[in-house]
Amino acid sequence: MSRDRFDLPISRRRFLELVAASAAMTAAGCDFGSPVLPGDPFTLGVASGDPLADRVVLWTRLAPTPLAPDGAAGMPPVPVTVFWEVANDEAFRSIVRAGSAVADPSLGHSVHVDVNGLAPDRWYFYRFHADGHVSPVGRTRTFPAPSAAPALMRFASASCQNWKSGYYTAHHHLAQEDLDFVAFLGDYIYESGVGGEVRDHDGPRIETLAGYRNRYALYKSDPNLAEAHRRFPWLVTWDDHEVANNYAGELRDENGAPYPVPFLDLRAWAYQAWYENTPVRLLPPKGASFRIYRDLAFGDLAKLFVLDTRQYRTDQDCNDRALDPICATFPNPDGDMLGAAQESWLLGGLAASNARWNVMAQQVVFSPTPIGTRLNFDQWDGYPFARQRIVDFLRARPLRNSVILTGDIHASGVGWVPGQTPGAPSTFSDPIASEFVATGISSGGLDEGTASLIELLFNSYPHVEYFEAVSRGYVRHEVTRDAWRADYRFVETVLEESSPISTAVSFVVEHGDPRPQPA
Amino acid sequence: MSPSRLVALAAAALLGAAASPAAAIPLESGVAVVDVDPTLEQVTGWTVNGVAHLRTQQLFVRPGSAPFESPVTDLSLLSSAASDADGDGKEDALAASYTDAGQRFRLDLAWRLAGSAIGDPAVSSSLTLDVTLTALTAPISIAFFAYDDVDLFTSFADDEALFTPPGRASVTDASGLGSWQAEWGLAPDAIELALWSDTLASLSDGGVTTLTGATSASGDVTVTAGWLFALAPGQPISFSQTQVITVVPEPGSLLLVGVGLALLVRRKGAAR
Repeated sequence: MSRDRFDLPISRRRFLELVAASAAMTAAGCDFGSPVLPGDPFTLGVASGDPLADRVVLWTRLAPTPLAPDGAAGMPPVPVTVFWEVANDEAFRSIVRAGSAVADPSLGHSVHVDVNGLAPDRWYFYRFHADGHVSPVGRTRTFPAPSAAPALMRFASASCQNWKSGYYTAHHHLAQEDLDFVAFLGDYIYESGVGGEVRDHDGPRIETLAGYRNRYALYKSDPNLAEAHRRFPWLVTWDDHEVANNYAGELRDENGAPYPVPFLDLRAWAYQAWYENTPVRLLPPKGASFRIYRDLAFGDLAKLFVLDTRQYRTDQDCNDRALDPICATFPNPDGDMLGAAQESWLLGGLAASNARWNVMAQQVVFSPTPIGTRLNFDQWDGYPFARQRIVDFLRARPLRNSVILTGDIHASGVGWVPGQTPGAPSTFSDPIASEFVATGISSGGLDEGTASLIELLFNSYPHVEYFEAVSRGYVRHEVTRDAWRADYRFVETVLEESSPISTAVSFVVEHGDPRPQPA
Repeated sequence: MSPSRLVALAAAALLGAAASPAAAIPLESGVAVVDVDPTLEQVTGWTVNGVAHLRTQQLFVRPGSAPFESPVTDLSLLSSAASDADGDGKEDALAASYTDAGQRFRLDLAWRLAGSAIGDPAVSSSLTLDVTLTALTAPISIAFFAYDDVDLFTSFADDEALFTPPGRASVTDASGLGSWQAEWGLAPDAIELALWSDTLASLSDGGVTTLTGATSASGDVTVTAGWLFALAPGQPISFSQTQVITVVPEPGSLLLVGVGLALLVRRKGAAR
């Protein structure tokens, strides 16, 4: 059998007949094996993610009452059948794939469908049906085949969307961009309690699975976020706030309030809720360990390594107290950011890559950014031995065009990673990679006075081309075989429900030279 | 990072003024996809029409008088090759050969995936594993374990498992919409149907595992079969395991298809 998958679509006629029959039976009150739900179960929208050349993950979570206190979102405690369809067109005249899945209460009635048999480098539309309800129509795509040589890849990198800090005006504009995908670099939710500057969380600091589930439901109730998911596939990784502020591996932040439950229980609930609410090609976690690092190829143009810098790291040095002088135990030669298995996987993957651009989509700032004589121990600055291993690897290998995508700090940055750091930042040299730091979608930045001071400091470093610590937004990337262009898109405000957006600065990295230059 | 910390850092600044990776190989046939990693994770994520049903299959061996069993992937991988057995242009078979550090025996594994055609309302898939053990230099005893963690429709904790002698096992999902069945060509010497954490802990605890003999279980269940072979050089032992996942069309879906087909037939009849 050598026919292409697309020689075997479901016929338009047959599908129309099935839909007509379904509608007729629904109208007649027929129900087959699923309970009658108390309302529209698709209130959290739809999403897709982790595209490959022939498949993509479709997601939804049934939630007629998204913020029900028990975390069950108004769903009965029974499995519910969900039908899914993928079509070539938005009107679903040409269905190419269809099937059913079971939304199970043990996984928050979430659905992850990994639809295979799709054509490479192509846009599709998808939707779900359950209990007579039809979801919004999502739009997604497959990536070019690994052997293909695409000329262009467009995506946005974004992070840090604290609900309390502001409206998702950035997502409103992001959803209107012409993108192939969105890379979300962590802090999708915040675990903190009430006390919002603009709008409020649904409850106190999260300490239960129901709490995590409801926090995702709250965030996903934002129409701008829902639209950004509906329009593009996402590549999602997490940072700390999906669990707890500045946690490290199996340890909570020692500077924060203790939890009434063992931290690993909390981490297990957080990881489960993240899975339930994220369109990822992963099997659900069993317990408090969950491998989420993975890679994807956009033809031979880019290899994307999606990293996890939280789950496997050792504790931040010096009690993670950046205000204090550097303590005597720093630097800890055993301090580790990725863990041995992930680091081996990453370096091996980089070594094997023939991609034009090699992208590490991760969380915390990689380049050295000392603040005077102080360090942010939560960033790679706090794990210098682990960082040096990656730097040494990149220096030793003839790897082309390494690009690091970063979130976390609610600030925008552009720079190059120095291969040589013999002393003060003024001596840094030997660029080995480019780094683009995306500001937060909404999470709070600095007041302008403080920001101008820290901007002055960072912008004095030779390897920092740009640093801005006030604005909210995202980075729009346009990648060709010869150059990588990054447009820093800033909204005017997140304190109002709508805001204009503009491109503040643009930088270009030419093929073969990791130093970003103003466009 | 909190804004207060950034402020604090800014203030501090002003005050201070100063290895080769393992890779899973995706096998694909019709609506079915499964990842097989001959060096690390073995079989993971058997997906049928977009939905994962088998979380993992792991194989363990305990050769000779070894004090514990080890994952097959701890053996030395001699070769592995994927192929397109059904000729659809996509790899659906993988063969891998291993030996132990002392080269006392050889283990040949071959997986073959088959899935129903895209668009076929009857959704099913089979995964066949052929196992061949060969003593290389002298007689050797080998304990072999096949551990299957079935999570029908991705969810766990809602499955029912049953072993039927001499060599069949099944798992059904609480939804009633899917089932997994396995049949071994050689009846296992031991069986254990139990919670995944119990069996996996036993297989990984650094001691000799004796399967409990439990033939039914419910919850987040796994099915583990064990064999004890006495191998002699030149007398290899071969057997197969065939797993089948069947997605039961729920009554609504069946009725929809039936009505759709009826409408289609009527329309075609009218067109004549």
